[in-house]
Amino acid sequence: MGWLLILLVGLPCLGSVINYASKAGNQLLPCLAVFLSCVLSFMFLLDFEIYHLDLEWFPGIRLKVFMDKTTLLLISLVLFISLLVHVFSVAYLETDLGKNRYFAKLGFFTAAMVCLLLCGDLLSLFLFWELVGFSSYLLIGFWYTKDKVPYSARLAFMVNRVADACLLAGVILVWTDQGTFLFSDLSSIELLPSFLICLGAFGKSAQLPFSGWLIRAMAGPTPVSALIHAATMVTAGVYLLVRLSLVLDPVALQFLAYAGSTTALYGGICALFQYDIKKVLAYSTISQLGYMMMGVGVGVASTSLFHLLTHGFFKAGLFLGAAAIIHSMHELTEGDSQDMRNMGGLRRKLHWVFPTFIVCGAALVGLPFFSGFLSKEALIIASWQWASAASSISMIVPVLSILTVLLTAFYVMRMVVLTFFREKMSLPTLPTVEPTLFKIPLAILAIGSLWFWYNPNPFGHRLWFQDDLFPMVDYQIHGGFGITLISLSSVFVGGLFAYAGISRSHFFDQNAAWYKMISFSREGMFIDNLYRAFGGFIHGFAGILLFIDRNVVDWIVNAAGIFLVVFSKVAALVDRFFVDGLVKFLGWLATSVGTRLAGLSSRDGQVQFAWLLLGIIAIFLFFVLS
Amino acid sequence: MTNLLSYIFLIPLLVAFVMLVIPKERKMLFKQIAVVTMLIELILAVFVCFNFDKELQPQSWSDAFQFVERADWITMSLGSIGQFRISYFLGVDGISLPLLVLSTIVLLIGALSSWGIQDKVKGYFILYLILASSIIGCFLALDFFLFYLCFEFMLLPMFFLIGIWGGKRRSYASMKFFLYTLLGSLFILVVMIGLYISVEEEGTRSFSMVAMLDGQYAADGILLPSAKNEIFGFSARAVAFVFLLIGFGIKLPTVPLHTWLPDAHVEAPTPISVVLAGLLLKVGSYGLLRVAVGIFPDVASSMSTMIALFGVLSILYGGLNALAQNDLKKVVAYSSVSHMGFVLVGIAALSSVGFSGSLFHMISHGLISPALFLLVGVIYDRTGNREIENFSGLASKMPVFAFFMGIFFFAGLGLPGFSGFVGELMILMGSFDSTIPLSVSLLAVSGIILSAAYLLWTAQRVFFGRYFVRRAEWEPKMTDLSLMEKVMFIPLAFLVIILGVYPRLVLDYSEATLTFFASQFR
Repeated sequence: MGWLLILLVGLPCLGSVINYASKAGNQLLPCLAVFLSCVLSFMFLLDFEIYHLDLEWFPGIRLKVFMDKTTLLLISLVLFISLLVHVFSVAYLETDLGKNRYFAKLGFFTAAMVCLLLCGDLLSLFLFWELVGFSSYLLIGFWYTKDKVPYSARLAFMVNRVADACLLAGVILVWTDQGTFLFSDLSSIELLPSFLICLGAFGKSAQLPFSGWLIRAMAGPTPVSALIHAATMVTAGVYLLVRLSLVLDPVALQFLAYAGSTTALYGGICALFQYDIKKVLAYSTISQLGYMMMGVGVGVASTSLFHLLTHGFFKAGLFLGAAAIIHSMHELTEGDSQDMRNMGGLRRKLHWVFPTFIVCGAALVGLPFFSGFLSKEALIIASWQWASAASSISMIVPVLSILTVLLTAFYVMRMVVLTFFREKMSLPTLPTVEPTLFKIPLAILAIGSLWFWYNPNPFGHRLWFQDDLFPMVDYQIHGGFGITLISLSSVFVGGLFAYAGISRSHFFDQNAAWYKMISFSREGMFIDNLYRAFGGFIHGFAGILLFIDRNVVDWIVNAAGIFLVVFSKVAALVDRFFVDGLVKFLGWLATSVGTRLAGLSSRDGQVQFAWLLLGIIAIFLFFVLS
Repeated sequence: MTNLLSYIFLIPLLVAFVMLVIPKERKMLFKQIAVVTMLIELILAVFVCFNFDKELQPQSWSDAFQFVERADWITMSLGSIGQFRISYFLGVDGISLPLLVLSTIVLLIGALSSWGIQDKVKGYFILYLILASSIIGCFLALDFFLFYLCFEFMLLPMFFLIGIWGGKRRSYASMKFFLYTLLGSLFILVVMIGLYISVEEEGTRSFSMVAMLDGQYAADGILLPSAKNEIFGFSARAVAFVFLLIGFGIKLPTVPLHTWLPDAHVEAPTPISVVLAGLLLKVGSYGLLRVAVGIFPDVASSMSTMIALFGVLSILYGGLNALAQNDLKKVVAYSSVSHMGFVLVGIAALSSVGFSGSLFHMISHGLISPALFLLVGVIYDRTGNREIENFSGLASKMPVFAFFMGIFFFAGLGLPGFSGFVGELMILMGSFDSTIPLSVSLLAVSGIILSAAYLLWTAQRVFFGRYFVRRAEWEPKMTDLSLMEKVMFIPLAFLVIILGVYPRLVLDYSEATLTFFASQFR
């Protein structure tokens, strides 16, 4: 078992490294490696057993490899989506010179993500948590010679780093309280560490206020966004909180419910009027992750996992669809290939992308018979039940989440109409080729977004194997037919508004007040400014400290040095003029007196005698008078 | 093999004497001899590791040391006062052994990176070997006098190495370095004398550090803990501790006593920066751990919060200053200040995990910061310039260079999987699990954000974006790493990763000693 696990983790990494080293151009090896790894994980699923292994990393600190059904399911999800993205990328990056580097990074990410899921303790989870963030940095910065790309990669890493610092502090606080990192040994966590861990999870899962990095992450290749910034890595935060949902402080859980639903609404609002197709999807990811957070907060962690699963499929499908659209737009137009204003009527050109995109979009909106409907409705109903049991102010949580449904319907409808329907004369009429390697992953993901994989009943609220997936007691989600009706009607209202709004877009452009609000939402509201202000503050502060360092701290040292030099110069002067001056004066005195007196001996005897007499008289007088 | 430590200590010095008789025209020979000497040193140090008993659980400091060598060195009868006795006393324990191995590695890398020295080669390598001996002596000496001698003697070769082979403002920098550190040494000298007249071993006063660590004070000793003697109204032991804190704090360096470091680094030639950052700073933290905290555990526990505060100040102040620099070498220099702040916090935790973290971080920083200086040296050797804004997008022109940059920058910012993370993690664990206030520990955590900020910002400006160098004449010189440069980077990268994945490679050696050390604080 242990060896098979090592193989499971090692294969994706190994395949891409060998591929990178051998400089093979066809990328067969990494795809094959991920395929094998994926098959291995499915085999584990069929023949399941719980696996755990203790290791001592450094004295006194035990780490644990742990695999239960939840982790295995998520590992299969990661590997499966990763496989599809690998396949898709082969065609997507066919002409890119750095594609070997790309696959090396992708393989590294896949391995790190699988490791993260295999962690049975907080510390090793943090370890791989950072490593997947690092591989995300590498992949966002893949086209590092382009403008803005290095900046985006750094911003994404830095925002994550801030959250990671919170997580690290939380994890260490848990350790000081309980003396262990192991999930299996944890008992209820105090408020401060719970809160810090939540903030850490918010970073990776792009919740407010850390959401901005995910938008910047769109600077990377689009298939990467499908894998990392939609289906897998960003769900790590949700995964962590699901794992800890039984031991987190109740106040922190409440906070999660409010923060999650707020972020869901925020993502929805910001997605409404985007022009960049990737940004619509990125904001929608933020919004959907908000739902999952809310689910953990209201106590239905396993339903959050359910949504994580369905979201993984349909969002990966949407991102890969967007990648295919961008790929063909590159051939069709000189303009910005991600700008939906340049698109239109693509349904006639992209015969595979169009239906799959519609299916995945329907799942995102939450139409019946699609996967998103099952999980999202379950979350909304659960939030309603949670709120009706709690205080009246908590009603805001289900209200926000239903409002988000409306917004979701609006932006998905708008996106679909702008890209596929509206006739666009400026685009050339020639048909575009969809590579087979695009078609297969898209078709698989679209089929994966249908309801029957998850629950044969298209109006059920549970994954059919949810009970043995996660051994925890969610309260049963029952009834909620009214809620479903409300949210379905909001879907239609949202869709209608979008359809009607497209033709009246000039209304928004001409009305100044509207226009201001719209561009505010398009800029992601205050988040970017917040980061800019924070970064500016830090840099400004650093500049001030540099000034202080040079002009105060170092000045004191130099002043001490100068003082010493001046003091010693003064001392030297004193030495030369006073101390040595006295000596010289005495010498001069002796010499000059001597020379004067020396004259005496050379004169004639009478004068000498006269002086002698004078001297004797003087001595005599001195004695007589005293 | 007896006297192994003496060999390690004295071989460089002997080789330096041998070098005196080699004609100065044979430049290549000096380089070869220096490298071979350091290689032998490394092999001997590794040999010591293999024969070191990791399982030995000391009950007192007197049985904590292994490979002990002791001989009378200077003995003088002082009549009724007794005997003045200095001994030649060497030994290693779990704290000094990893540092000894680190010294030999860094000195070897330094010798390799000195390959480009063309000017006054003979003098350079003689001084380099003298420096090597005195650094190694610091980590091996168990007699305070011998320790102090080595500690002081480092300044002499360093002064000339910066002052002769340095950059434009070399005389200012070397003078500042020399005087500043000398000032620190004087504080240590005072304490050394105080300890000498307080400690008694076999009926005579003694410089033996083991006796000091074990607290074998004479009944009339001025620093006797139970006597509670006072100097100017302050507790004598507290004054002594603060003096040591200042003395070693200058060497460490801790903010606000750090300003000699950026100047010295900026002016020093690359190999000397490597040794300076890799080892000289570690002498400061080693002294702090062994001498200040080891001999004055009672004062250390009452002042732990203050030490941690200085540590956090260094972390944040150094990090923010690194963020604001334009000179690549200054970025790395201030990052050293920041990292040594972590070491200080770990020491202040006064627990086994904190000490282990500090020791591990010393080793890790001792490998990463030389690598960072070598990275800067790669650019400086090619262009004679280090200003960040003069370069951009080097990754596309020098991919291997960018690869190593990636490894060491991410090691420096403490990414898991690299040694930097383990040290910081253990230090923070120690800090949270101690009497240090929670707010101070939380501030220390924010240091890991700052290190990412300055390193990634530097990487973005120098390595990413469009390729650009300021002057046209640099253009042909921007070639990727030479074989010699790869030879220096590969072992460092290997070590940084292997220690990050398997930290027990160091910690297994230090565990027993540090557990015993920490037991004094519980």
